Amino acid sequence: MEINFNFPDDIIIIFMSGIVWSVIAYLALRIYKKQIEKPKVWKIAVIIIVSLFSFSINWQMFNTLVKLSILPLGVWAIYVFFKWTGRNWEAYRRFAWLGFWANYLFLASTLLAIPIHHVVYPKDEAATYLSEFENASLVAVHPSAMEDGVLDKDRLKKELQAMKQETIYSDQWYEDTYLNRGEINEKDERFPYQLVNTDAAWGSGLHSVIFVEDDGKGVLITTAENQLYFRFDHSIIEGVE
Amino acid sequence: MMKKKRLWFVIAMVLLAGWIYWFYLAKPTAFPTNEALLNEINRVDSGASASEIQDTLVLDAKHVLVPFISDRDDYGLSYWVWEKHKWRVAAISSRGEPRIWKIDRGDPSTYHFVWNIHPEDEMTTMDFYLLRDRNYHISNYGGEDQRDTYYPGIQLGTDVSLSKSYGAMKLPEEWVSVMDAFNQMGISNQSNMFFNSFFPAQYMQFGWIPSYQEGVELSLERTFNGHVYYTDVDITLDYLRILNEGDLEVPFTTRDLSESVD
Repeated sequence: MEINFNFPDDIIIIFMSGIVWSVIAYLALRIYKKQIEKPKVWKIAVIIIVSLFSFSINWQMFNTLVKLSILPLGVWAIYVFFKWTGRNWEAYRRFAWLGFWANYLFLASTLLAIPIHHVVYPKDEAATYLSEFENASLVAVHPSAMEDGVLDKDRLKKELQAMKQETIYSDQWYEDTYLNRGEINEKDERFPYQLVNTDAAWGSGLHSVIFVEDDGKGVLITTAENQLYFRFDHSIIEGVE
Repeated sequence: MMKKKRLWFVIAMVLLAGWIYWFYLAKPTAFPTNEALLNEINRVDSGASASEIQDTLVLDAKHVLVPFISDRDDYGLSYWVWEKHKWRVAAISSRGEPRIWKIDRGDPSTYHFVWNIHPEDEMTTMDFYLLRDRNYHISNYGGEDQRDTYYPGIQLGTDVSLSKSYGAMKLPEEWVSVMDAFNQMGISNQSNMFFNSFFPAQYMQFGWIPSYQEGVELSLERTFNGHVYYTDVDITLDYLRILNEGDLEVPFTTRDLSESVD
């Protein structure tokens, strides 16, 4: 359930949760058919959803939140409620436990989604992050940028095929801006442009902040998890060589 | 018996729907008259001693900025919000030093610079800035495996010339798209998803620089050192750091010029 919250626009997670819910529905149907007592369907649905609640251990794995359920809090709550109100717990018991064990189906789907996501949306290709830039524009985010720099979209489209990933020398770049200067506050930013209104590949759920290098021949792509640097031969800023 | 039960249920639902409509969905009524505004400001904050309403600046359907002048000849600001079917004052600042009103914290397009500069301070223009410090970060995963991150410095500026003492201004569109990109990236970061909504653009800071006509000495004596009175209406009103020229970067290479000369 909560997996949908993680990646609201990640099509792979949405698809996997769809499969998990179908499996839950199928298993519930099997229990229903086997049981002599037939509870109301909407009650079964509520029981399953409440039973999903659990005490769990969460941790990050490959930048994905993984949730290992331990204590079936939802199941216990329903059990207590049924006993207190003198309802027929036996008719619902198996559905409640199905709800709890479904957490592990979601866990499996999360673990499976990670490699699939990496194959469908290669993390080391600029095109994954720069898939849609029809409405994109450059913002001069530092005074060392050319004020009216215009993005050459055709050029970007061509360079996207040939971009090469390069090493990020973060400390060196940082220090360069302080070494190459005149007066105390005279500084050139290495990446003085931000490329805005771009979209990553459809359904990837990726969002990035993209900066363009002062010569127009490099992009620095930052996601919540990672940063990538690409260089190419021709400037994507009109008028900057 | 059954019928009676159902009737009560229907009545309860209608009342609930009506309550939700009235307090949360109903369109704002006409904004109060200047006299009513003055009364309310002075009732809420007896120290305000507001005596004259200068204007009402409608920022959106539910948020209005009301600059006022007090008995002590202070130029103040009051911030009004349509909430629970009433126009309520959320904050009153006794003096109008520039601040930023974040109507919706997660949406920079709702941010407004607001000010009411005392005329005796003789300020002619203000420069507003959006800044993010240049930085870098190296995580070491043992041996050769290290991950570098470089955060470029951001410095965006815009200026406003003062024709009246007071005013409100939205962020320039470009700033909004810069900040939105950071916020979107943050929302997709799962480790923060459940509790605090996480807006990386909050790491950016806003600042301003006053400027004067030639020959006029820098003075903010009548605009600074006010205080803000907050009511229980929720509002995000952030302080704007006053910047010195030394806080800002200027380009080192004048590349654009040298190229056009050739």
